[in-house]
Amino acid sequence: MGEKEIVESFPALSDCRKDGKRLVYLDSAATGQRLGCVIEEVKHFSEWQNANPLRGMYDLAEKATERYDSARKSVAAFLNADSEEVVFTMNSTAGLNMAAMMLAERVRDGDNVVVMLDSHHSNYLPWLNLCELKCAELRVIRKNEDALKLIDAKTRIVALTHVSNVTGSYYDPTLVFEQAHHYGAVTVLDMAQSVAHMWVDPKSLGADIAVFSGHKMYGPFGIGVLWCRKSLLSKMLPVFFGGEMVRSADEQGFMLADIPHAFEAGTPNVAGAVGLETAIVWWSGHSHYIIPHENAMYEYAKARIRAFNLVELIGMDDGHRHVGCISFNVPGVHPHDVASMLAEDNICIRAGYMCAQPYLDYVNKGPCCRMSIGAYTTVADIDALCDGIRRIKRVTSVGS
Amino acid sequence: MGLEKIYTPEVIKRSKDETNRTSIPNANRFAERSNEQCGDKIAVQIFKRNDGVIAGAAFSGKGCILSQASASMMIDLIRGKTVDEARNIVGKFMLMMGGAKIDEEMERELGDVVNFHDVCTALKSRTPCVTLAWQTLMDALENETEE
Repeated sequence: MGEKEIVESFPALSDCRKDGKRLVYLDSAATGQRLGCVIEEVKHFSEWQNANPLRGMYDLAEKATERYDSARKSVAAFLNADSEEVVFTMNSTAGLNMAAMMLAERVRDGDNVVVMLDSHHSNYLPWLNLCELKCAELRVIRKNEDALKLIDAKTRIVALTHVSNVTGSYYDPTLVFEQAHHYGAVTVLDMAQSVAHMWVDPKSLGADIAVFSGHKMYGPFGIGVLWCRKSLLSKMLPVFFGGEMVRSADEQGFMLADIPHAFEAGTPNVAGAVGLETAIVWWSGHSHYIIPHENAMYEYAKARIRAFNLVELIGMDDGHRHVGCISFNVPGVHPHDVASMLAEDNICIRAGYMCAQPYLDYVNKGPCCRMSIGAYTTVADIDALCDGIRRIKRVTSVGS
Repeated sequence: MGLEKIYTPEVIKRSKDETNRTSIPNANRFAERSNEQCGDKIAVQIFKRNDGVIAGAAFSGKGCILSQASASMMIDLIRGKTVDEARNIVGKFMLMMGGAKIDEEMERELGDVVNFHDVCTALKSRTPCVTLAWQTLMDALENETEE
């Protein structure tokens, strides 16, 4: 097994040509390309096993239930967790908003919530909103700031980002979460950007709640996971109410179903869960190749981009290890122009604020460009990007 | 279609041209807009004479090649026109950027900016960059009150 087999596992990489130019996909931090086996499995489920799970009493419904349960077990095994702790959501954003709503009753006037500045909006705005609603203080861990000093007896929630979607900075949350637990705070970890690049074990990292999205790890859109420690999940109230989340209901009350079903009101996205399971099985089976390969690609990209002095790197000097993405600016050329001109050569990068405007405004580097890697990234992809940037500098020097 | 039809040497030059990027001391109409997606900002200043003619127009702000070139070319186009004529030009430009076919009248009134039409077909995601200045100008003219 090697690079060729991995690349061939993703149909878009060979099929999505533009004027004969192959797809150079360097936007995996936004979404991973879809695995062929995921597409096939979702199709198979939709064609042959589609029914509403957990309700029907006919063969098709039994099969759908079996597939849904199996997906949950695979996610649990992947996270080194119990199945009861796995709640399927729409994506990381949905999981983090659910977490903020479920934890709202713990936050009162004068309390504080600790967050990281270089978080995605999805792990920042729900907490900002919660603090506004509860007259609580939002304490922000800025660049190189000691997070431990921000946590005290009034801290109710500490929400960290495992890997930044802008800088790629990797944070080991263990010490901070230890301090949070010392003061009785709940710990939340956004794993959206880490889950496709490393093995994650939220419990051993000290998280009480952790989230991720399926589409960032080559699974389908519309499926994500909220993992929550059993001891905490069983004490919280759901935020969505409706079908299949109660044991019984009468005119004036109801009794919640067991966890995790109490937190999954309505018909679940079974096809999405099936696709996610397929992606997890694929990633797990290839992780021994993917992890060292991505590390090598990352180091190669960093070295090449640094070497030709045409770009300004963002956030690489923060003392952290970096994973998955590199953000940069091409001096004198707006990021949107960079992205559009690269797109001409079928090279896909992201340009803008990366849904992390508070951070980019703080470091005064926004908007910017971001290249991000995946299991399928090759040396040729990175070389194409560098050649493209060189061409852009040449084209835009007109009139300077 | 290749991007060379959009990022022409003329457009790149205009994006760096400082002539219309200035302030007008006696400006009496102002508006400012930003593109939420990328944070680009454009401010437009107008000096409208009592006879309704836009005697002075300028812009300021920061942004990509397309937004800055479009702003600069727009200022050239509306300077010396009456408010009603300018509104008509903006209306035609917005219609064009919405995908409308360019007719002879449009071509005559819009001049070189008709080249931005390719953006709405080949680079649709960048349409807001091109139209930012024009929407800002419309705001400035909408704030218009009879004296």
